[in-house]
Amino acid sequence: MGKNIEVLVLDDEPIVCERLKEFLDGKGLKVETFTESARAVARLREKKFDVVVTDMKMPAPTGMDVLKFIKEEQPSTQAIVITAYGAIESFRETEALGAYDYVTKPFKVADVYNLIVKAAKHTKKEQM
Amino acid sequence: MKWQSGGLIMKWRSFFTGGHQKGGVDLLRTRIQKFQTLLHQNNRVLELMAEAEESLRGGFLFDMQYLRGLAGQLEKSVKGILLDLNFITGNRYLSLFPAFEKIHAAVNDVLLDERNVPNAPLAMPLAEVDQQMSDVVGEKMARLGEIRKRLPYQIPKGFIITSQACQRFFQKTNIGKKIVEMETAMAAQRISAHEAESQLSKFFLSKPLPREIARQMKRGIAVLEKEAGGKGLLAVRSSAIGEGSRLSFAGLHDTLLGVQPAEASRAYQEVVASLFTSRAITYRLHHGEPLSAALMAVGFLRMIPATASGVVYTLDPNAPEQNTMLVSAAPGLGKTVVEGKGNSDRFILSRHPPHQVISREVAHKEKQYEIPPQGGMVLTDVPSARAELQTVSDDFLARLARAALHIEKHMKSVQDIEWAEDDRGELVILQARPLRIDADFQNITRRVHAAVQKHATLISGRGTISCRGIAHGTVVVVKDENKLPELPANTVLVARNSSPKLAELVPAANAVITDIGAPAGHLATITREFRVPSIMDVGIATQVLRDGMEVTVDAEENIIYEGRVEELLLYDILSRLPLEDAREFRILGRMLKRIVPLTLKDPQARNFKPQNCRSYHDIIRFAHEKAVEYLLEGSDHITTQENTHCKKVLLQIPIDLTVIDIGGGLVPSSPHTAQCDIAEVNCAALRSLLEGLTSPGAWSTEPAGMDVDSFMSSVTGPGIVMKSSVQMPQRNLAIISDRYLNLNLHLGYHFNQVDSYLSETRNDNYIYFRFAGGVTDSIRRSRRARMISTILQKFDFMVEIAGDFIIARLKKFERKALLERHWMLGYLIGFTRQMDVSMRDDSMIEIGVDMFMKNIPNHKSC
Repeated sequence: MGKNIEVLVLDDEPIVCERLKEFLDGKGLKVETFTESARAVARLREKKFDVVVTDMKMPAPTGMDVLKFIKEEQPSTQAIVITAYGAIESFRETEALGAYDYVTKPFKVADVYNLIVKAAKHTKKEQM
Repeated sequence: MKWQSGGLIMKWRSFFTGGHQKGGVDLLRTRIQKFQTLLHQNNRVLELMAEAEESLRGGFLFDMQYLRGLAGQLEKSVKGILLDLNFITGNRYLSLFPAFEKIHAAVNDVLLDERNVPNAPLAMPLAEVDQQMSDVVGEKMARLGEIRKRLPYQIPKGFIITSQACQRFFQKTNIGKKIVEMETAMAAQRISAHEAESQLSKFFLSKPLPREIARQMKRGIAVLEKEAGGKGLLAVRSSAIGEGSRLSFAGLHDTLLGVQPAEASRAYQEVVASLFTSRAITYRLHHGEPLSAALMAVGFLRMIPATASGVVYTLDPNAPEQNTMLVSAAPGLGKTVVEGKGNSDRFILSRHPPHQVISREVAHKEKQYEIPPQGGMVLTDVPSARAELQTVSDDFLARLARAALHIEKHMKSVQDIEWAEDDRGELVILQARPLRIDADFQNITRRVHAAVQKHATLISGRGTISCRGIAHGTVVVVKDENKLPELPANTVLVARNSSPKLAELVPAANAVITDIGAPAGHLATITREFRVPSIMDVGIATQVLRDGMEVTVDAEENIIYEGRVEELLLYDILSRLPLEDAREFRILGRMLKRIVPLTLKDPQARNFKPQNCRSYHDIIRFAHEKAVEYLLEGSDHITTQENTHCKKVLLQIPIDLTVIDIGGGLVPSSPHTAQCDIAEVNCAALRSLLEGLTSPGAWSTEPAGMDVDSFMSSVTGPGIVMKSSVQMPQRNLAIISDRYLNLNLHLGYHFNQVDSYLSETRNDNYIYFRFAGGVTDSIRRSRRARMISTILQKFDFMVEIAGDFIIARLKKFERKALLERHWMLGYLIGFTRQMDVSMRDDSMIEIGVDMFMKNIPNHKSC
């Protein structure tokens, strides 16, 4: 489970990146983290990830911009969105941009892990 | 901050639009609408508090954005409650606003506090410290304080010179400037970490200790000597801020043992200066932690006269999948084991009770550390008779294992614990910190899947998790919450109701399961405080789980398994990410201190006043109580002529009852006549109650066994009561809507009041029942009150009795269950209306209860 899944985590608050990386590394995933979305997009141009976990509320490029980029440039990559408190409404928009699923803060790290594994399976099926 | 309460009240007054100018039923209807929104907001606040507490304890991840959102939501809801309450009561509680503003400002201050050091005292007794104070007392002391406060284990007595003191010292010496210089120079590789250490230590140690800190230290030592009954040597322990699981700083900061009180100041400065050792500097820089942010709290603890000491790892890091624990032990002070000097015994113990020794290596122990009476520490020879012996007994090892696993369970991560056995053979915990384990998760996950298949699922997916976690134990079912059992070790507590009375059992339980109850309730809050996994509202727990059954409670997936699912317990402890040392967690912890604690518990108490509200929880508790109280009072002032929705209900019994419909309380087809029958009542609560009251058996026309004395007593009682009860029925009033009932019922000698709200949203639902009156002597009346209270408790009510006055409350039950309670209340009102005259002695209480329970139809006995 989870082996060789490559994940990019993007959140402008370091605690989210640090702690997700710590946990996901422990589960055997290959994780890269970014606190600046421009750098994350640059990395996405270089390398294809199985799953991207991104916060929505960030200075430009915003989470929405990142989703657009993924949809247009790397449609086989699955995106999981971290939404702000009670912002389910905005998830509808992200869904339209092809996000796989979402978590709301506060979230359990294990829940994100489970979503990543599910999303990665989804990716593989799509590619088959 | 300062504020002008008068000005503030004026400011808030302007928010109100004068709704109180309307009259009669319109106003009452609007008030009840406001009351409904108040209830809604009240539940929202309780939910937010429960979620935030859960976040703090259950391994959730969140950031500052979440915290700001949480504060905003709470502010909005609590403010809404205050506006509604003041609308309902005609601005009677404007004085709540200054209390609200004060708490709101304090919450914002916490959010804005970007610095690590809150406004804390320079010194604190260890006895007052818990884990949430790690900003002030450092991680090490915070954890030690937590163990003392929440768990039944001994720790040394002591006090802490806080991070606030350290910061003040740094400011006075202006060392910050020097640190930045050193950091810049190191970054440019102009100097080495060794050079930085030498310069910073020399600089810092040459500065005199500020007088205020010295004074606090002296005072702390004096208190300690008074408590311990004399002078004694000290352990001066480093407790750096931010020294947690992510960055352990293990062994990088100094601890000095056997310090003479006269040397305390010097020892303090040396321990603080250990922030600047080259090893600590290199470690910090390597992990991206700026040296300029480093702060040190220092613990001053009484030395324990240790005959043996050592370390326990609650899971063997070399073989985590073996599910064993590792203990090292050596004679004398623990320094031998911690620093690996001299040989020590090693034991591998089972994590299962009774924690058998699986393997033991008893070493030949040559050297031990001892503290000579004059202070300091010396390495001496272990007496030859002891050198070959096992350092501690197997019995002590089992005790140590139990304590260590209890600490692990509470701290929610594998622990590295330093311990000592004192000269009386008692276990003393010296330090506990998270232990990082690199485990093969994929292997463990596979084993969990296989293991759960082998265990029967007793209950699955029922109820709501109120505190997450996984626990194992033997079931103890609480049968009578007024007679609480003594809990043996490893108990899974099972009860029908989530009664607050069970709270005192929570710390000793491994898990708590109830049939009825809400995750926002008091008991649920206590389970979160003590981090005891709990599932509420399971419905069938007391039927399925029997005394003595061994079960594993998975309060992550909401499943209860038969037996002990070892792999699940192991997975739980390994998969937890100790997040508690992050700044965001500390900020949330501090925020919740202004939000959650409930000080206004008793509405009858003298302190139940707006100005005594210390938290948002106090405010909403106060507001809810006063809103209900006002609605009860308010119904007395309604005049029935003002409206057209006023009808007399025709009953088969001599009761004159008028209903005022404030919205959907009567069926729409009800004709425009002055009277109606029960069938036209659309308020299900009132209809159920009247059905119970008029059912066969409830309404006896015979006075129940009235004897001459009591009859005389009733005749000589207040004439008006007698007159109204015997000659003509008194007028009674019910305010109803489709969901709301406020009934004021004078029956014979008694006065009954029911205030209830029933909707599909369980959290909004409640019944308040008040009962008073009677014509016999006060002893008989109080017997009757005790009888009624016993009956009400059988139907899950929380009951308070003052003499013969009863207040019973039931909240957050399903609508259907509350309808049954209304039927029961109707039956009870009828049944007891003259009971006090038959209450000759105390035995009648039990007889009365039995009679009621026998007479009430089975299907109504809930």
